[in-house]
Amino acid sequence: METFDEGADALTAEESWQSIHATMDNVRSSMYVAGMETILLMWGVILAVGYLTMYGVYELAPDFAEQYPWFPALLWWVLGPVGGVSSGIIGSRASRRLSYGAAGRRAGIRVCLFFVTTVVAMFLILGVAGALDDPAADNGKTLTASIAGFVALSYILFGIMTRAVIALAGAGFAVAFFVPHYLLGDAALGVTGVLSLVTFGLAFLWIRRTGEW
Amino acid sequence: MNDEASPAEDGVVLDETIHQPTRLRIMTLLVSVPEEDRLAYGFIQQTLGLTGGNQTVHLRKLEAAGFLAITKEFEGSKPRTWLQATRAGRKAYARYLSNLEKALGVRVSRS
Repeated sequence: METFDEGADALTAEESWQSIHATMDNVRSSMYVAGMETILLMWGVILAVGYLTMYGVYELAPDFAEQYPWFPALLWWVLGPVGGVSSGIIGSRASRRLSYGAAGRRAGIRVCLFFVTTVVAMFLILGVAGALDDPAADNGKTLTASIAGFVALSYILFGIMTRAVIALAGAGFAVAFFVPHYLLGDAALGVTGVLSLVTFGLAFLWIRRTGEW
Repeated sequence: MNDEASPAEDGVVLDETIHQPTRLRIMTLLVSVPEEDRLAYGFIQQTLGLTGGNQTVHLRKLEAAGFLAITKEFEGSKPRTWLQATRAGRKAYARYLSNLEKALGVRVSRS
């Protein structure tokens, strides 16, 4: 039987004060994470598709990889925007189910600007570092690793400001990429593809089943 | 309009309708968005970690006091319940906040 907290502990003025501020923080961050569990799962799928495709091309069709060295760049130039636009659509629809009005719209714009800024910063920094001069160098491994680092960092930073599970998902993705990258040689991309899906899938399931962040 | 009030520190009176743990959080949530905005029933439940029955009881009290407007609509075939603080509710909350400031001797940021 549900219990109602009408007779719950009387609030002191200090407790009211703290409750007000905690609630205000909570509502702002709750709007920022609208639809985030679905977005995480979607990126898990996109990263899995991307990394497994690259693994397949380099390991199973090396002639194709040699003939078309720009293929990985094309692959991510397609998958990246697809993921970005889809994230916007998912977040926007989730937000409209939760709140109606300016507050939800502003929160969505802030989230969009956060991730767009990290992507722009990524390309600027990689450009300055010379990593974009010859993207196909070393089969794109350096560039792929750099981009993976930025992706992980963006989720970790966003999660620090909003919800811990998102930060953990970002850290998990970093592990999923860099451990195989340094330890597994040619099998790295395939393993990363699978682990990316597992990492973000687990985050999705955790949030959906527990409702906890 | 609810006239219930309870004395707090230093004789400052805090509106008892709002001065309750769950209702205070609900009102804080509702007034933290612009006046024209509405919040979904599920959003409040999820954000505050409330059970459905508990939330409904407190929402009804706030509605009865004139602090809250509850709107039910259909999105296609799905029912949606939207909540919005009324003007009276926002004024009552502002009074509550002002009295709380007096009780604590502090200034609450309204940003």
